[in-house]
Amino acid sequence: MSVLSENATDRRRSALGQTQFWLACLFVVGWTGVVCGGLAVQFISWDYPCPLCMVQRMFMLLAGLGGGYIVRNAMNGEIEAPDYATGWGLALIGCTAGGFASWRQTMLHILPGDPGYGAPVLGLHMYVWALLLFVAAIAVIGVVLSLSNLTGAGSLPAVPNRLVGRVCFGFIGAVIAVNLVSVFALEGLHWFLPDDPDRYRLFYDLHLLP
Amino acid sequence: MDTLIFAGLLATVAMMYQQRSRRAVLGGWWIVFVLTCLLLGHHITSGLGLGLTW
Repeated sequence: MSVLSENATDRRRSALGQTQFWLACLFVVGWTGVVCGGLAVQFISWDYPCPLCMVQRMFMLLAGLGGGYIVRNAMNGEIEAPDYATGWGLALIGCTAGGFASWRQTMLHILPGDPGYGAPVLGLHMYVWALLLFVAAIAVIGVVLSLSNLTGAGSLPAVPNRLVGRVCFGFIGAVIAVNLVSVFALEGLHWFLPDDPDRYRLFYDLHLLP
Repeated sequence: MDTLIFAGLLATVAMMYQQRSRRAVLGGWWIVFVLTCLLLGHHITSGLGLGLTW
């Protein structure tokens, strides 16, 4: 093999070797973006999220943190195979549990004539989208892991990965913080959300609203 | 409970970013996960079959 073609092969391997890092970034940003979609429906359409919706958001963020584990380790420039495996393991557990929660909510509204909970988005209810996304995410992780000898490089470039990693963590941290404030307002001084929330109970608990 | 779980998620993100020990990060993640599962169990008030014909 000539030197030129060897260099081209090395470059391809190097680019392919970063696949798991970029997929992990996509996991963090993607799941956080889906949760942002839920927040948009909550505040723009002024829908109150039901308890199972909140549970699905939690599992989405837990799955995103699986990707975050890989991203954070990769930001140092070196990442070992067990760190990749740990991150994807966490993501798989989050997706499986989230898939179960969204399947459960889908089944609650499966009977013909049932209007479902909340307004549909692009023809499907939020929990049905969540089920599709959880299953798709599990399949994608399986594909990438099956090619892990090619896609999981041990050494990664610091630029731009470190900056990308910071953006990912800033995004997921900010969205979790917004959810924390929002759910505190929704739940108020109670242990659990009601089955069908109809107001931000904190303001009533504190007698700020009549 | 929901508020506490989101607080736990935020704490786990912070620990992950600060590169605390693997035990602390994974411990935080698993605690949040188990609490979320318990919350899910609390909200599943009927049988999984739901009276449907499977």
